Amino acid sequence: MKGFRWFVFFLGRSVSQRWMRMVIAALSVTLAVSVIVGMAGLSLGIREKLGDALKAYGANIIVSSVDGRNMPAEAWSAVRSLPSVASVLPQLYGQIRIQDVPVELIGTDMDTVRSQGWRMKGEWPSSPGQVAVGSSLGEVLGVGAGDPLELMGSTGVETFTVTGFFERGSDADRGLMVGLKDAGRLLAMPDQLSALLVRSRGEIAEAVPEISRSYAGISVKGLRQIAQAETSLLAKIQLLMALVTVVVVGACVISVGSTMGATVLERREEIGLMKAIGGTRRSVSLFYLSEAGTIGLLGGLLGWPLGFISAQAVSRGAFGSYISVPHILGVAGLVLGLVIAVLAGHFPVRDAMKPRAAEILRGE
Amino acid sequence: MLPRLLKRSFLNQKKAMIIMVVAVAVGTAVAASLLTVATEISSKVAVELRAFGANILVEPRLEGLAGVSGQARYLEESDLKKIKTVFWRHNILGFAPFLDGLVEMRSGENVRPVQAVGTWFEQKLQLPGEESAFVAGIVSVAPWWSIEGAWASHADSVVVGSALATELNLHVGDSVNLEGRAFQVSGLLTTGDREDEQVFMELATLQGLLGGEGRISRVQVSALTTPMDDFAYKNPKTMTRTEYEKWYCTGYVTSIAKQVEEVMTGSRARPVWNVAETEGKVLEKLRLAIYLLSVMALIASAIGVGTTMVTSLLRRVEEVGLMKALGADSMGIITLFLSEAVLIGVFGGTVGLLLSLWISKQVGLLVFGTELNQKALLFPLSMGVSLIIAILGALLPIARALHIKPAVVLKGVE
Repeated sequence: MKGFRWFVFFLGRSVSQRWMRMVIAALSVTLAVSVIVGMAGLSLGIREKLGDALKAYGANIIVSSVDGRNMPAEAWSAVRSLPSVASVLPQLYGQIRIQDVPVELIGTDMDTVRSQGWRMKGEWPSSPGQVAVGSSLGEVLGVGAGDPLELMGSTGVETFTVTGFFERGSDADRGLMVGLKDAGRLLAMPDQLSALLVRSRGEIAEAVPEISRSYAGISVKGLRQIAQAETSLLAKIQLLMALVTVVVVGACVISVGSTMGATVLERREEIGLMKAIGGTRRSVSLFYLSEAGTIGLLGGLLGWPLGFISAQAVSRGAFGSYISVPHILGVAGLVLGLVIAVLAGHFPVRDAMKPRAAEILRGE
Repeated sequence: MLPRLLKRSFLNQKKAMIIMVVAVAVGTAVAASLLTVATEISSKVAVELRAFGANILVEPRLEGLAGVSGQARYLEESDLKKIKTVFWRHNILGFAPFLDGLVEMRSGENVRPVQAVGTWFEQKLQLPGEESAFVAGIVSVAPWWSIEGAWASHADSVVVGSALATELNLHVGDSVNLEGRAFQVSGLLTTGDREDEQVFMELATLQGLLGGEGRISRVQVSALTTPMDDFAYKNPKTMTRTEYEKWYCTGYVTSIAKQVEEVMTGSRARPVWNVAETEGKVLEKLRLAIYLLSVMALIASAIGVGTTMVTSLLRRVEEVGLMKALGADSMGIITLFLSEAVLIGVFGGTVGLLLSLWISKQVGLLVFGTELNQKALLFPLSMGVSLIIAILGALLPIARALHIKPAVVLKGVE
């Protein structure tokens, strides 16, 4: 028997006699590929997801005026529309008096503040004439939410309504926060800003030059505190994910290898048979390699969607959202399945092919 | 009979046995090292997160509105060492005291008030009962400080913030006059924040300059904390006694702050919320991710081991036929296969555990620079699991084998 018929005969024999073993072999390849695809996808996505969690820190860039004075309020609109900027918090700093005692006042945009999720007992001001009080100041003032509070600014004494008490864990807790318009009036600094607290969308190093170019006369500084810690943490997490992936991938490849190896060990007789009825060494190895290849392709085909689904399941469970897995990973998964199976399958084949046909058939 | 048969099995089918042992070993190694990584990663990342800075701020408790502006009251420097005696003292990784004051700086013809800050840069404290010294100071709460030059370790040196230095045209080595005394600029500090406009020196130096011995304005504390949950956010004043004890004895940032407040006379301690909340969020997400990943990988390795075992043993169906033809009964066959499985499980499990020890150690060193602790519970657990998998893997072929007619098998057709 030669050529194509020979091939088909043994293929048919394989499928009918050891379909279970082939299924198991394909399963092990599926597993290996799905783990690789899943973990690779997650490794790519984890940086993005952790980056989101790190946003809770707040601003990582401070924008102020180069000469140390205030900036015009239009600097805020110039900066907030930039693509590299995720959020901007405008700030106007000054002092007013409560019962003749100087107290720090911060004017800010209450809508942006509300979206920051800062600790607040009560509500943030939502209309003019309302004030949020820092927790330390609140303790000595003895007022509650809804009570009036007299603030003495440049316009004289104005009565504000306390809406709530905030706590930052900084010296802001000894002061007050009001809306920008109220602050501008109380401090006689209309349409001015002392600083912009910026959170960058990506790397600080990319955002700083873009912000600097967006408005004249501003100084843009990245906060070293956050920049270093974030970079270091994200790098370590990625390294960890990579190492874990390597360990698991290594285990999967070995497991596929041993599954394929176990399969081939028993087929020495078959190899003998193949050679006896017309197979050359070349056609026998070709046969086994293509068998392994088919198993690999099928396994890879199944493994790619499985890996994709598990990566998304982990991402959904851990981060509450999905990750974007590049489609190249799917192609890579298929190819990987092929490579793993053929690689794992070829060593035992080579080894098993060494003894001579007659010896095998005699059962020695 | 059994030992002889076992010996024959292992010797005659070295390759097959090796493959099975390798499969179990690899599966055990992956499972054990992943479990170790999963359980250890939270504590390692928690330490990494301390690089974000202090998460507790301690200030003098305000008494009356007048205290709001300026510095009416101070904290005691002598209370500082008590911080490392609180219930959660082992979680306190660092703290630094600060004294703030306004001083008059004379540089050439310029005279201007500058914000001066006295602190510890790196202070080694010998704590009672501890062998190695505890390192407090800036290095333990603000590792991102970048000083061009050196810290002001001499009593007559200062570190100037880079923005202020640029404004006054000061460089390292220059001389400045503060409150009539001469100082040398030993370094320039850059942080991007308000420190760039201040002048720094040793705590004792500023205390001497301002005439305030033993006084400090505030303390920053860096502590390892348990992420806040709904229970932790409850107002402690409204908690029942049991709840309060549970809160106090859990390392929440709020309870550790309370403990520090108790030992610092006249203080009020509160969490630096943006740092504390970021930590909590990152740790929660990471923990979940690693947990889910571990489950995924454990399933994968279990199935991987299983497929190898099943495949290996399926091929021994003929041998079972032979045994039956030679008169072996079902019980005997089952015993043989199970004993083999147990031996493979024990041997493979041991190799796997040793391998996992090495893997966890390498991963820990490479990523965090420290070794990961492999929990003692892992050993019996992994061994047990390897055994179970080895035995389970043997069940299918055994079940199949027992139904075989010897003649059919011996003819080479399944």
